[in-house]
Amino acid sequence: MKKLVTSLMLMVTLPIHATTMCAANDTVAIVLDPSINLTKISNGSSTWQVRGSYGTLYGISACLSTNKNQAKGGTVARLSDTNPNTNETKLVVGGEQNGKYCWCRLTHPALSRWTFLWDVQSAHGGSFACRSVCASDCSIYSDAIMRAGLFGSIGSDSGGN
Amino acid sequence: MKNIVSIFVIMMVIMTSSYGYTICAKKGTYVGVLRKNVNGTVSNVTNTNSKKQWAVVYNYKAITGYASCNEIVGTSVGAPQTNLYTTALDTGQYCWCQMWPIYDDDDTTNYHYETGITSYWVYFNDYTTAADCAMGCTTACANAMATSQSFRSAVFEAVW
Repeated sequence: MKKLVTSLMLMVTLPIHATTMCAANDTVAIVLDPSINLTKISNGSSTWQVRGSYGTLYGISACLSTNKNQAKGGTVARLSDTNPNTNETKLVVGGEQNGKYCWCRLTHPALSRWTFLWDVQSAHGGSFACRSVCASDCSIYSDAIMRAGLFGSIGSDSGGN
Repeated sequence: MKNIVSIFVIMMVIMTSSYGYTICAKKGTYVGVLRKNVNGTVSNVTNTNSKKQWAVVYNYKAITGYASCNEIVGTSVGAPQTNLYTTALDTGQYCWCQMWPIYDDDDTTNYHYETGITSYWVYFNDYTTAADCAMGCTTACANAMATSQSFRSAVFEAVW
């Protein structure tokens, strides 16, 4: 047992592509702790990056026409939405501009379910369009509730509704 | 202090995972573990022009992913590619594999215990023709992930 512990103490931390992973000789482990704060790195129109003490996380965002009756941090397994212009309902893939409800999804180093952030117009006092702030909001406002939703919905047996 | 807690959590995971897939972490923390030296069994291969998906079940979790017959050649077997475009160029002879969660809400499938972890595209090999690649690449990815420790390790180390 002492030998085992000693070898584990010598395990290598691999900062591969800025995502901290820990590895024994034969094991790669990823740990995402929702209690650890994240800091925004950057965002695109529907992508975002944040950094925690364990590395960089990457995600996508979407502005949808519905909150699916979710509160902040609530997750949905298979999220579809209707484009108000075409009236088409499609599976959400990121980048949608269908409405005022901002949704976030972690894509790297692990794929979460879509996680509801908020109604952008209510959150920002009606002064911003969802498409202009959602990706940024996903990075800035990933508080403990959001992090719990994102991290807790990784893996297909981890819940969601 | 938080770092110490995280390291402790990781150590506990690795210690317990030596005896199987047992997660020991504080509540709410996501822990994903990949075991390089554990072989698996191919549980599903879907190989059509528009969909190349594979699934391998290990004794701790299932891992799914995609295959691509691309026009981009890899530098070596197991080499990752950070920006492999598949939409327009999935018509080549060079076989690439990617670990990517394919969540299925049907609990009867083997996808149920997915790790959720994602990787870059990793080069597998070249075929003589694109047609040969289209026919064999997806199965080759699945088989390699199931039985080749070196290739599996390359994919696991290409996590991002």
